[in-house]
Amino acid sequence: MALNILIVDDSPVMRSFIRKAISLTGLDVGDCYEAGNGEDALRSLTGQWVDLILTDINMPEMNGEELIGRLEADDLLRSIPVIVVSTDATQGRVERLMTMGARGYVTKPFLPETLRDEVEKVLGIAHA
Amino acid sequence: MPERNAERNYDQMFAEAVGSVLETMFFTAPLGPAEDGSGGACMGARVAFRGIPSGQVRLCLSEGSAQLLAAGFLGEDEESLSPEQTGLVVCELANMLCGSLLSQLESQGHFDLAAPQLEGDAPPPLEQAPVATQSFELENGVLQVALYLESAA
Repeated sequence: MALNILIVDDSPVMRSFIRKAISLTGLDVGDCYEAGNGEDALRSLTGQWVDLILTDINMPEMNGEELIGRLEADDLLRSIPVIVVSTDATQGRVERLMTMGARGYVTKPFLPETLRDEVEKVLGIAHA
Repeated sequence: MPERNAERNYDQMFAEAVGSVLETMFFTAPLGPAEDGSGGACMGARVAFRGIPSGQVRLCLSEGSAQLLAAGFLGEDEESLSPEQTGLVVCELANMLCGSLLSQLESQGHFDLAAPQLEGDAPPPLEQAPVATQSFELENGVLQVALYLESAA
């Protein structure tokens, strides 16, 4: 079944890069939605369901930490797996976000293979 | 002796950060060290960070290199890129270099990064000197990276 993915990042060029990286992973991807911050992401989720959220941390208006907190507080939305895609690779940040509810973490810079491996691990997909 | 070790570590940190970011996300690699200040007109960008320590990372990238890197990052022809797109990619480069340097500087630390700021071709001078700076020869110019740390009160 094709995966519908929401990419949350305040940089349009980074969203474009992640979208291209996903297309290179070989994963079966259906619709790919984009949001510029956590608020946009929550708004987007009222209109369509996604199977996975890839989110940055540092964003204006609502950052990635707040977004994860809001998702976790929602009975329905908390079931959507979140993978953080961030430049911040400090151990404290990774541990904090994983404790908050993130299921995976990919540090920029990353290779498409790294993103694929993390998506497969989080979603429990066996690599073809 | 400790100062010399620190200098050597900064050199290594810069080389690892620049090499890793350029090779992984921009599909190019630094050709080697460059002389400071060489390369002519440049695009500047900076990312401020708060934590222990606080400071900022600034970069200055030759215009030709900026276009080449933006094209590699976005997978498009250089001619089709707008100046805005190139500027956004330079900001992302600064963002990733900052994150990479901080994770090497204090992997156990906690930092908050501000949004990257484009500084154009005439970056405003800072009052303080960088704790480390390094220049890299790229295919179409030079990338200069500088790390500034606020001194503890």
